[in-house]
Amino acid sequence: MNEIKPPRIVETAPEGDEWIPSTCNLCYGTCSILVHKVDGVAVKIEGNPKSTVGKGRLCGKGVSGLMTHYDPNRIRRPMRRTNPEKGIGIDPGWEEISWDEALNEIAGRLKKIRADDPRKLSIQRTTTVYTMGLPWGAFAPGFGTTNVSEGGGGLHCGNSAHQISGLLHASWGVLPDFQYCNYALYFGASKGHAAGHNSNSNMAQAADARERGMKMVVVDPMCNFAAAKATEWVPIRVGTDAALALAMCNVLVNELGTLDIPYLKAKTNGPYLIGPEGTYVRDGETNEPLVWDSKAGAAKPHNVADSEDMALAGEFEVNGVKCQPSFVLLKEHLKKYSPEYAEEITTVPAENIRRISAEFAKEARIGSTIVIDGVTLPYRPAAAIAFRGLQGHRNATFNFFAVLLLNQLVGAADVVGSCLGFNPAFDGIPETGRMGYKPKASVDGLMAVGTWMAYDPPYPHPEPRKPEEMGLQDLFIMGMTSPFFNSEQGEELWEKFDMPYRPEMLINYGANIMMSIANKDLIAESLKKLDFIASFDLFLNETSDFVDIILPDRGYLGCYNTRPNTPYIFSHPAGMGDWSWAIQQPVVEPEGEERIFADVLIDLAERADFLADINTAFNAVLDLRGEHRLQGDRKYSYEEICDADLKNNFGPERGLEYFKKEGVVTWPKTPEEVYWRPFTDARVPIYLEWMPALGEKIQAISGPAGLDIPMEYYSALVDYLPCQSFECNHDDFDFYTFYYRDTLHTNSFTMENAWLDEAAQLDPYSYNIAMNTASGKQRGLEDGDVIQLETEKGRQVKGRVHLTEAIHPEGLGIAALCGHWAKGMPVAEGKGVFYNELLELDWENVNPVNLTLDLCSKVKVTRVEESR
Amino acid sequence: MGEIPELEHGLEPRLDTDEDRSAVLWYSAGRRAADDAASSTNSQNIAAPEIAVDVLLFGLLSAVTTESPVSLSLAGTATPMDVVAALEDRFGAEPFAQIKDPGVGILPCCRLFVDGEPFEDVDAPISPDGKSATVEMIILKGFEGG
Amino acid sequence: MKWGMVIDLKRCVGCYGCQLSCKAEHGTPRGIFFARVLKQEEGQYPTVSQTFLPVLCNHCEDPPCVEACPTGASFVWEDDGTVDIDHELCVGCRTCMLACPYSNRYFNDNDQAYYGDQGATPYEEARTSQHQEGVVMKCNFCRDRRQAGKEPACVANCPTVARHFGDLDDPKSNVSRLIKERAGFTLHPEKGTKPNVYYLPA
Ligand code: SF4
Ligand code: SF4
Ligand code: SF4
Repeated sequence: MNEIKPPRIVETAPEGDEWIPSTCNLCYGTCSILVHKVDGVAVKIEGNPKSTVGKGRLCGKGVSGLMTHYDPNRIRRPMRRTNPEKGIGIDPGWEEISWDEALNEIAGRLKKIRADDPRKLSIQRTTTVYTMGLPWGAFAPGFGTTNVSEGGGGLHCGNSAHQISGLLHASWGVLPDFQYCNYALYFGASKGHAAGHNSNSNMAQAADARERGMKMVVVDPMCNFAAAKATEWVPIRVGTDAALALAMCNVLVNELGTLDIPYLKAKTNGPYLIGPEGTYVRDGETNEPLVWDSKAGAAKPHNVADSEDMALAGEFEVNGVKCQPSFVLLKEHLKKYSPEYAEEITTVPAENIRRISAEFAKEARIGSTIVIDGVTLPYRPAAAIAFRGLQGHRNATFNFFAVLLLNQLVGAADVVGSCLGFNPAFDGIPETGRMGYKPKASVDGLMAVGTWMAYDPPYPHPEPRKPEEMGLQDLFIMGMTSPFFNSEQGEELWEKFDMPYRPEMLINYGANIMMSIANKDLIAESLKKLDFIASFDLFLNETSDFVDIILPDRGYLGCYNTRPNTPYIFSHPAGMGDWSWAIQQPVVEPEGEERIFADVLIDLAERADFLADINTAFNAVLDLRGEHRLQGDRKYSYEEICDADLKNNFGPERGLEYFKKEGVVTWPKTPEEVYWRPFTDARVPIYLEWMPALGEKIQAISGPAGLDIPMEYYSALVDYLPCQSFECNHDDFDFYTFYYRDTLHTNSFTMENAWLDEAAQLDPYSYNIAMNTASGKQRGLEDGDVIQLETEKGRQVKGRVHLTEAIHPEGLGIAALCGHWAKGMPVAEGKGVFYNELLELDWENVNPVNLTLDLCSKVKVTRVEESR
Repeated sequence: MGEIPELEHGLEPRLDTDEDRSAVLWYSAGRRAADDAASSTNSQNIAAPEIAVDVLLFGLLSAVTTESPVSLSLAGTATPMDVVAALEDRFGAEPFAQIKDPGVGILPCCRLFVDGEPFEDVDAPISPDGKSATVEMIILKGFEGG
Repeated sequence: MKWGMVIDLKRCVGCYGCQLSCKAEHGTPRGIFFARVLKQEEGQYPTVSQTFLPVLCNHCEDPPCVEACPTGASFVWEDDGTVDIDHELCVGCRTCMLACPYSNRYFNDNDQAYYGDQGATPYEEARTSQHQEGVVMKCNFCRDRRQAGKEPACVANCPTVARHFGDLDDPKSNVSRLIKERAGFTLHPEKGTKPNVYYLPA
């Protein structure tokens, strides 16, 4: 029969017909692509089967990229505002200007600020093309500002998910080991079913797991994406996941006793002795935390005693101090989370909590091993995972930690079948050994990540100090992003803390912060206060109303990036398989005067006299060595820098030319890389010993400034703490809203893509508010009615209701960041629901540990228009 | 309180055996690390004559002085911490507060190069062979989220 | 031989990759998706299930659309069993659209460009503008791709590998095997159309 082969690059293509390898960036999943060009026009984007990132297949967004590229509403020339008045919906009166004029003006301002206080420059970037960040990683430190933010302190950011995944798995997030897992317990998180890090590759892996028979239990207020494909959907009251997870931990520890004791002894701080103050009892000489050596009948430093001999139970006296292993404290603490208590909070029946806990424990197969590629490894085919959703609450850090604690109790961490960090260990490029990293033991024997996406890893953390960073993350040192970066609320806090400077200028790269953080009016106020805003953009969006000079970006099909998939902890398939290293290269000519933003940044550095600084920063960021180091104040093109980066890592034969042709190089992973946990002597905390002290240190700085830290968030033992929205008890306010990521959309960006918009209009959920059918009927609502949601504080948003059985009766689910009003995005304009309009942006609604914004609200629903 | 049945697993979570086969895998990395620590000998510092150190400050640190390079004369055993101390003596402690931390010494966001090579151990001598050295310093910060 | 498709509902996650990769392959005008993804929910809270059901032309063995077509424009390729439309003969009467029990035929009466007055983009010039207006359009199992030795776009691209394509006449083909082993079924068998698109249960 006629067998049809998968597509491949045709070696001898007709003249004017080519397939160019590059990388998708409709989301930060960064799948490898091939772009088909005929006579200079890009006519098709397909996946690149040579790469393991996407494996030659793309999601609906990825295949629609050309609509974004050729959108006639794209900005094609630099522009300057003529109307000095800035405000929501006020036309800036754009006038086209030359690049020279634009850059001279920006550089002039940069020079002045740099001479005065470089921190007065702030930089915002979008998370959509987060992976294109290297040039910013050099520009900002080269200039000398520490104020760089991702434009999604609110909805887009998995702040706590990243931090806690880093702490416990040395990665940006976690996944079930799809290849071997038999029981995946999802707390929200669409991993493998819709969006997020590595979403597209995960879909195939999750489908394989389903076909293989992996059970998937999905705890979620809504049954879509992952829950739709689950063996069991467990509906839960919005924002209460920690109560459920802790009750499950309680069942494991206190009812079933199914624990991986050797794991807890060897890989956690469970045996560390805790004194009456709640802190480690330390060795007088080395200051290392002590454990009780049962064999020796004496206390010993954790790095001296053999793990096997460490006591997890009992009460001891060391140097006259009464102490207990931290595991004992955890065990006692968990007792208050009885399944019955959790049922009240979460609406999940106690018997289900017990059953699911027992299933999880049983499927973990504690004690078992398996041989993978000749290596004997622990086998724990059960995983509890979560991602952005459950940590979008005030209790962000504990919510996430509580879920991951389940894995720790049964030893299901970074071994076969278990919960995996994505790619925390990497041996390096085979030919050169470059770029390798792995988690290692650090302060007090606890794990430090091998690599990180930011310069402040989750552990060990620096001492908090009186804040001088706009986002206050030098005080709230656990925060990865901050919603206070560009908001009027920030101003209030800066005043409290007596910040020595104020931002004067913003350079924005694609972020639409008027829509992506919360409470747009507070953002607008802060933007108005800035003297000057320059913005690289594809479209004139809601934030453009405040911009002074707009610079046209070439977009993902017109840029260079040597590292779209690295570090591998961000968006590269986890589990066994291959490593792939792909690049991004310009595949289409600009339609107008768009330029590669990296070259524009280098141009600005030249015009503002800091080329030597940006070169040094590139050397540091890319770790360029020897002949590949950028020299002095020479001006390099970004192409040259990319070539240096590739040769520096892959050797002289494999520079940019090689990668432009090949697109990607691929080689196999080893079991020691994927299942690294048994090979490290690093431990992870099940008891957050340092947290209370950290809270006090922060309070010592913030208290006098008038900002009191609620200490319950800084407890060493995790708890369920309810959101602000739970304090609203008025009768009519009876729905909890929540936001989720849609499979068709990325952030607030893709609604302008005409194909994606069209598909979203046909989808029953994408642009609508999902409400439980019975709840709707009770209130006399019909499917398709336009309803208004209103919070206690009077914040309102309208949208069309979709009545569905597939949602918790108290929840209202809203997808993506829709509801655009900018005229520059006519396709997106007026589509869907602007979720953020409901959100407060203040101290009461952030997690006091790392400033994660609470994304739930309690609302009253009224009908404003009957269905059509 | 305090009594957990050690190695008692309740249900029947085992694959096909009563023996805890993964225990030894969990314990082995710690044992290897302990062995390595026992066999490694302490290196000693040998007193060395003073060396000339040129320091280049970039980015936010470049605001500290217009002097470039900053020429220092330091003990032959000087470490990055000593370099920072010498800079503090010369220009005051304030600009360097942002890169120092009581716990880890110099924060990881401050990158150091010695003669063009990245230098990570803040307590190691920058010039083990006692020759003069050029130190480049830059603060990498503000790269976050996602 | 007889081309057929098998869509595995256990694997499908409703990502719309098929719907949009088909559009990308053919540059279909606004309002026209040869491949679509439907979402169906069954049961009552909390015992509810959601099914993602991708649909496309079923390339039926007894196609009512072909029977209904007054001009002979709709026809079946004898060598491979696929149902196609000869746009030279199509007069746009839309009788076939009424005859198709699956609503998988579309009339191209639209403005061809997505951006209306702003004109066709270079991509649309190269792709969409090639479609004849005033005729009925539908999935042709990616005839051009098949001739180039490739799988249909929606099959090659499906991120979950839920779609399979092969010869239903060959009992050893991947599609025949899957239908047999996993109890493949067709949509609306009661209509007697004998679809060549099969589904595997979720
Ligand atoms: S998952 Fe993201 S990167 Fe991959 S194809 Fe989809 S939009 Fe592109
Ligand atoms: S591309 Fe595949 S997984 Fe996605 S909706 Fe279509 S059939 Fe389902
Ligand atoms: S076979 Fe081709 S034309 Fe038919 S739905 Fe799939 S992609 Fe579209």
